[in-house]
Amino acid sequence: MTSEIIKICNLKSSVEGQQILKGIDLDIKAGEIHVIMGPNGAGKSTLANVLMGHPAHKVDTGEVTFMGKDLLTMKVDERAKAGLFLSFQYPEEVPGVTVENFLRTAKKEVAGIMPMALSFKKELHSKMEMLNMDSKYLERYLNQGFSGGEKKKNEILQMAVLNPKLAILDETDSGLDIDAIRVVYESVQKLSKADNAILVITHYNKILNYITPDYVHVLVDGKIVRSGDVTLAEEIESKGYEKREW
Amino acid sequence: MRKESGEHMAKKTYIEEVNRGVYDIINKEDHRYKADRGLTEDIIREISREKDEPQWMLDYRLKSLEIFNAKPMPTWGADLSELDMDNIVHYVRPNTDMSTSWDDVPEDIKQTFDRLGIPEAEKKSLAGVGAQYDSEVVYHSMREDLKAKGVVYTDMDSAVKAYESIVRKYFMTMITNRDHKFSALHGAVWSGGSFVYVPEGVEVDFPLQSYFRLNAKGAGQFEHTLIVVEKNASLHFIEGCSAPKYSVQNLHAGAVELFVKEGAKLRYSTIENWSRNMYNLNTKRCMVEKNGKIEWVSGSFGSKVSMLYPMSILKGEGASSEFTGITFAAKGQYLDTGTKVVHAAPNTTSIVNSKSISKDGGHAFYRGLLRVTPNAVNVKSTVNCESLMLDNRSKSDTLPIIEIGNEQVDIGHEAKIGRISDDTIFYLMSRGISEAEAKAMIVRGFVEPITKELPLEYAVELNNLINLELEGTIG
Amino acid sequence: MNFRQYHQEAFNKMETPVWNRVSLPKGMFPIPSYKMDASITSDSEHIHIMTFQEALDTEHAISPLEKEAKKHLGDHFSHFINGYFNSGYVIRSTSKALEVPVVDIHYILSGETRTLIDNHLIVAEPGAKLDVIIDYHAEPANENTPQKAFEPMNHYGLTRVIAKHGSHVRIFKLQRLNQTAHHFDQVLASVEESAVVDVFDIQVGSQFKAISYETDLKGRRSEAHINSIYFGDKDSKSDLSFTMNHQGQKSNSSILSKGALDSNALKVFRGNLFFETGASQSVGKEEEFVMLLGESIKSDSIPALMCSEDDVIGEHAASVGQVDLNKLFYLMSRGFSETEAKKLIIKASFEEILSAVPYEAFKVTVSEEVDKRVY
Repeated sequence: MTSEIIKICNLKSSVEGQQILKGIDLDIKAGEIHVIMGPNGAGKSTLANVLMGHPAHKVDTGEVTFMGKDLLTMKVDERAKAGLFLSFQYPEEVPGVTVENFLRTAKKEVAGIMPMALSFKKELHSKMEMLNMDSKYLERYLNQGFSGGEKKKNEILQMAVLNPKLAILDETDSGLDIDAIRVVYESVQKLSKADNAILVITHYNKILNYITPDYVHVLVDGKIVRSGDVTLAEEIESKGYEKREW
Repeated sequence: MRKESGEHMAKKTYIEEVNRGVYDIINKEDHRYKADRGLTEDIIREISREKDEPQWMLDYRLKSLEIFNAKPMPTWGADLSELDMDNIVHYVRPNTDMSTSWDDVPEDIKQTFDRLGIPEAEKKSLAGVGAQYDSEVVYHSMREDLKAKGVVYTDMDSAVKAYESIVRKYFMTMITNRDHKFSALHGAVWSGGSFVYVPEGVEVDFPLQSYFRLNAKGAGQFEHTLIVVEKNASLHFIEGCSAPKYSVQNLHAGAVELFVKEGAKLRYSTIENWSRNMYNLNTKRCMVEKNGKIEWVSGSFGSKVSMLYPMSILKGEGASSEFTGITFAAKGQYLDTGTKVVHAAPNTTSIVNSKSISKDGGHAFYRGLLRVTPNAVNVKSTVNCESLMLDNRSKSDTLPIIEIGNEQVDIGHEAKIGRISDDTIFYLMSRGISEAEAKAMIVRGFVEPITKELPLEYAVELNNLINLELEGTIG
Repeated sequence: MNFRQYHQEAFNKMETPVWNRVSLPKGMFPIPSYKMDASITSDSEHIHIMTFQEALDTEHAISPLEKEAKKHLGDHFSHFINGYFNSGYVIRSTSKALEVPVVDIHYILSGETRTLIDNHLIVAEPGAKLDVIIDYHAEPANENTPQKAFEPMNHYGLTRVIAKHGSHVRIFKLQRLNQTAHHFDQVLASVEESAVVDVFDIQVGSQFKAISYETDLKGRRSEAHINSIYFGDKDSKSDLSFTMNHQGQKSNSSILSKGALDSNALKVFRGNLFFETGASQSVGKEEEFVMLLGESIKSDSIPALMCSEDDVIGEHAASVGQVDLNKLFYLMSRGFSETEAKKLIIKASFEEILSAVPYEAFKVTVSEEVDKRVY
């Protein structure tokens, strides 16, 4: 499979007049898993938010083609409907809206039709089982009072339900214990198919124990300074990010 | 407003006015007797004569009128300067007598209540219904099995005669004509309202409902509701209020007196959707005896000006109160609402949950009082106030006063004001939900604690009331 | 007509004020016939100090705007203090040094000099830093103390704080007068763009205390934080009021109050957060914690959030209750007496605020004063 999911060309963005992304180029094809690593403040989360269309981020220049369409002119919900998914680093709490109600509404919007209540519920239960989540979460208000790990599992549950073409996982491992990290990444690995792609953003090297990326990129100061395969991640683990030749 | 360059999210959320639809339909005025504008002793005597009341009631009315004339207009809270008391008609008798059969209610009045879904609700989920049109109750019914158990549900005017000893024992003992100018006015011109008596140990399993409709232009509605729930009995009472919109002011100065006896439980729900020319200056109080419980569920959506603070007096040891309220102030509305709780006995507990939304220049004001008297030890109370502002033309104020008179208490209070977070909208939109739906979802979630306390029909009505239309360009 | 005369005249025309929640004590507004000097020290050449009277008498030493004092505890108090002050300083800082300059002001009231009326102006010029410590202290009574020393001591104070562009001012106030004293203090702060005003207000003494802080967050990204500690002695009355007016965009404020009330103490706490239209993206928070130690206390809380701007975050929280019995039990099981255990719990609660105070001697004094008063 070589069909293209996303193509990012010379993407620059800023927040309140300060440039964060300073020219990103990245191609992701179907069936691939990419990992972006980099030090704090390099712009990793910014890249995720710019692709999803966060209103605080202004795109200065650059082009992004997603599933053959111009991503940057789309509204946030249109991006989701086109098959883009972002697992948030800090998922928002929405009081009064139950997880089930939320998932059904989102599924209806993304799939274009209202899912059948019974089969949808069945699907939810099996996916929650995979994530080791108690089904009582369906009745709880979205992310309200959830622990860090519960929030992240809930993100992956949404990913599993919405079945995106490209899932961006923004620091999904942060704040989780080892067991939760394992459950989350094993689920992500299972959700990786020949017709979709996954972009993992992390500064946690050990994820290689749970997931097998095809490409590893190093993001420093708003630019991808090096790309390679798994061995690059191992190199970073031993040498750190501060290599001058990058 | 100043906005720096490069700043995002400047586009504000706009939520359209609630579509009042059926509430605004005006019926032709057809009444048997309409008092003159303004208030004189002659009018009071005439009202009392029309009602064929006992002498003590007439005396009380006349005394109240005297106090009303002597008391100054309140100067705190709402601006009442536009309220012209001389232009309010204080008594309008519709051209019909009270009926116990829906078929006997005149066609135009029946249509009004049909449109509001009242008879429908009665069939489905109520144990009894009362409907007041202008100053008098036009319809009343209750399930036979409750009658057999001794439950009384009738209009207040009939009760004065049929249950005189009970009425005389309780009537205007908790809200007196000396409390404030509008309680004095109420004492003078009160008409209609509901009387409920639940005997010891009787649990009324379905709610009773009263619906108040003010159709006459420039009129006042002054219904009196008196409910006595005896020892270990329980009741859920619902009141709904609406009126069509006129260009002149209408006034609502009702009084609600609730007596919850030892171990008894009362839930009192109100969905108030008066038209936007109404001055809603209502007084509600509840006295709770040992181990009794009062639950207030209160939705304030309508009226031009509201000043409404249901009060719980926890008089007996172990008594408790719970208040759940939502206030939605839109264009041209000043809604000053809240609740008062007086802990006057040991081991009493209270919970207050208040939410408000203001938009399009509306002004929502939460004003609350929590008082713990020196003898009321081991009191527990939590007060929560949350306000959502949908634009910066609106105003939202919170003033929860807490007065603690002894050291053995555990009191917590939290208040929050803010708008819908852009990050929350972004989060929902990133899952494919449109901006308008995301905002509506957040607002519905915000009022969810109230809707879940209401019977299904009312929850649906409330959701229709918050029929939000949003537009914007985030993303 | 000079400044003093103007205010004296205005004061004399006014009716005696009446307060609803806390009734005012007898013998208000005594006019002293003497001047009072503080011991005042400063450690920096970039600090300019003169007395308030000197500043009034010197041309251009003080601008009309800087003299202004809007209504606070009431016009009465502002006029009285401006008309009859017997002490007070104008302090200006131009210091941008890394080391924050400190001005230390120490007042001792005694049997002879029972009434202090101090009128201050504190100005931090653009980018400047300044710490001001003001300590109000009563000379302990002894057998030689004249009889009239047992009449109450009086303090009436007015402090204006002007924090100009990018400056940072910290005010540390300690009131530890004796158990019969009357203390009235008002502080008005004006915070310009990117400036910060931090206040540590510690009230452990006096029979009657009424304090009022009003801060205008005028500039963009202006910041003000008030940290209040109070101890309500047996039979004491306290009226504490803190107001933040958010006017500038992205302004940030907090009010944190920690108090303890002993038997028969009466306290009113007023916390006001105002968000004016245009103060978008501002954040204001207030928190009040009250520990009830004795019997027959009365504790009123009146927190207000007044909001005309939607794009803000305003929050208030209050919690009022007795000393945690489990904590008390735990400490007593380790050999602490009940009084010692209570002291420890109170001081631990105050510590959250005191830990941010960089002056060791100040902290030790507060701790000693609490020890003296809890019994």
